[in-house]
Amino acid sequence: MAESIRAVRVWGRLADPRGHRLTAPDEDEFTLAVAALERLGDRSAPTLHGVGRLPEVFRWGLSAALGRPVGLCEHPPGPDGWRAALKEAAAPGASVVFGVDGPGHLLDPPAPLPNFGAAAFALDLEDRSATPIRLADHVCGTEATFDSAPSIVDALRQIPGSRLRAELSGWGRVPTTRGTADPEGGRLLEDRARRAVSEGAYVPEPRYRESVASRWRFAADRCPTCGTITFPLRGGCRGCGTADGLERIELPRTGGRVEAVTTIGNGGQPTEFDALVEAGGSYDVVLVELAPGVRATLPVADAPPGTIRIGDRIGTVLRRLYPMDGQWRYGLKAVAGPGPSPRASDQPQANPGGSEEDRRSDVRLR
Amino acid sequence: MADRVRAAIVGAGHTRFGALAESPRALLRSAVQRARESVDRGLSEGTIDSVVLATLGFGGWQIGNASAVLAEEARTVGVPVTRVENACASGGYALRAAADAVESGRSHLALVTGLEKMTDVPNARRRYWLGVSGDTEWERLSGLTFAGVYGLLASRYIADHREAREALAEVAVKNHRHGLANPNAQFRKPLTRDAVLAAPKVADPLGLLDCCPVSDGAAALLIAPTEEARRYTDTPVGIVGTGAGSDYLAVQDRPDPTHFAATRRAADAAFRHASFDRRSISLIEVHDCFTIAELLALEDLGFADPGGAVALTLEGSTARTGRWPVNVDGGLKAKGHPIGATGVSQAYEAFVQLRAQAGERQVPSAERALLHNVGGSGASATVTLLARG
Repeated sequence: MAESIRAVRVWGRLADPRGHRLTAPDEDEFTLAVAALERLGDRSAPTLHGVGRLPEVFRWGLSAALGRPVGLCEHPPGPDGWRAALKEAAAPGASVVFGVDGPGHLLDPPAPLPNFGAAAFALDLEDRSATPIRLADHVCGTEATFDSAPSIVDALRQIPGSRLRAELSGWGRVPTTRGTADPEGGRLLEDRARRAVSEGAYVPEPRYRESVASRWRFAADRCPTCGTITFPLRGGCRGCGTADGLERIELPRTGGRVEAVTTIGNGGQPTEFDALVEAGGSYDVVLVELAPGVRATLPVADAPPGTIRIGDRIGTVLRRLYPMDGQWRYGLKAVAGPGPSPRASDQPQANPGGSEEDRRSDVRLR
Repeated sequence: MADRVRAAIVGAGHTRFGALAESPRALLRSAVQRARESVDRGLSEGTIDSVVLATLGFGGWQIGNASAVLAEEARTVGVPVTRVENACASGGYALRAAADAVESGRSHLALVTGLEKMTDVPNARRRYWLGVSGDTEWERLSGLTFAGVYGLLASRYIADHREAREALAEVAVKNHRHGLANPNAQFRKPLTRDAVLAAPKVADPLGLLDCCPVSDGAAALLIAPTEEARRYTDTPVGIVGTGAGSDYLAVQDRPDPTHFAATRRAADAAFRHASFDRRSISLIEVHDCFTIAELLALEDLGFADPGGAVALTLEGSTARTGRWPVNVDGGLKAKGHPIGATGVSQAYEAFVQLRAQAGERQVPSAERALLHNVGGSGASATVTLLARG
């Protein structure tokens, strides 16, 4: 039914005001926004309204990350951006609004905002009558983009008669997530990332961008002639060579089986991963069978090194891989268990800052 | 049945391997000079009519046209020099290319030279050169270097075969023991299994002492048509089989990611040319860039069934005095691995062994040798069979 509003938030403050990192070191405003947008489900909104300082990758990478063509309307950070985005979202045509806080570019110095960090927030507004405009009235006056989000959600809850389906679990809390809580490590990583240019075996930007359909969504070609699945994409069938009539598919992103695993450390990493190792220590890489006879080597996220075993089933998440030429490069990483890793903000937990309302909102509202 | 021998090695030279002060020019000069001096009946100037150079990075300072530098140092300016680069298998492919030139009748004396100079560049740059030969588009962006890829293979091998971890350690112990008797080896010190197992992990389950070192060095061979070989020496070493194979660059793309199809293809092709089979081999040089690579090689080359290399190794069959002496020069693990030089160095060892000139590391009655050279994590491989006389 079209008259529904769905709010999804995926946490992520990258750092609290004291610079303590609150998410995993390979998450940022892009991976969090993509996770939020993906949780909206398969909504075919052609236009996404993005609020905040959007790093370059948003401009070319959103369609690839979501696996469907989308347009991006950018809005300035803060309450004005929210208001503008929500207003535009009320125009005819389906649309989605999300907001991020972050420095916006790898090469920028950290923003002097008191709550510097990054967060992603997504609204899927199917009721485009008056609701978004009313939502805009509830945008609070804080400078940070993300900090406006709770007031919008409050407004969502209060709209009489609206059919609100919300995944608001953990709303209002600042989660302390898995991953590093080491502020020095986080700063070191950012610092190294800023300076790292073209060290290591160089993959030019166009080659990297060419690969993201496979790297971010496991896109593959199935050959109608010989049945071979070509992954990653090569522009033709690697079985029989045909380039005609290939069927574009996406390999399952969950349930892959670990065939081999190694823990990289002590200089075993490529040079462009040095900063990651200095900041976060060793990491695991797995060889996974995604589908019968189709494999990928994937870095492991969110699990202490050495805990993933041969035979385990894995899920995948989009994360930062390594910095190159002043940009972060991204890819799917394996996480333990057949599904996206449970995010700290989704798990029932002691909630010193949250209200009873927050807990009730764990239940989907209709 | 007589071996179908058409090209033969008539001279071979080798520098020390290790962290050396010498420049690439000096290493090339030295290896070629020693190869010339090894020719029993001497070599007059102007005899060499074709040259092949095997190198990956050439020390990082003459990336292009390094062939001209070799021409200068080999005193062959004017003679065509072809550069071959197939990562760590460059040397094996250069030897094959020279044998092809000689067998075709185009060349009557070919010089093959392999070189790498890696220790005098900063760590990041060195690791850059070590990392350019794997699949850069996917594997490397997953955080893998060759150590990582071989670590994956080792994890699978250990999960599938009992006592495999001990066998991996024994490969390092055995090759270091062999290296003690090789004056050209980078490491001439014994290792214990406990030390190998306790070393810091680089790509778990592989530790630092499961990995070959970073090395400088050069090696050179002189190859002539068999019917002309006795102009140079009474004891040429015949090239009786050259096989090579390729495979998908990334391990994930291979139908069986746990073994090297390129090695299997290369071995099958080499033995198709030869008049003998594996049972006649008296000396094996395999590409042990990591300890796991030696076990996989023995299986892919047909000396053991899958998992069978564990027992061969632990029972001592691959030691110099065993049934299948493997890497009696210390292998890449102890002798060192100057990338482009390695395949040429393996042929140098066989040349010396088959002519019974290997001194205290001599394999008794060595008649036939198998050389196995791998590029990267198995995307390219050569197998060369050499025979005395």
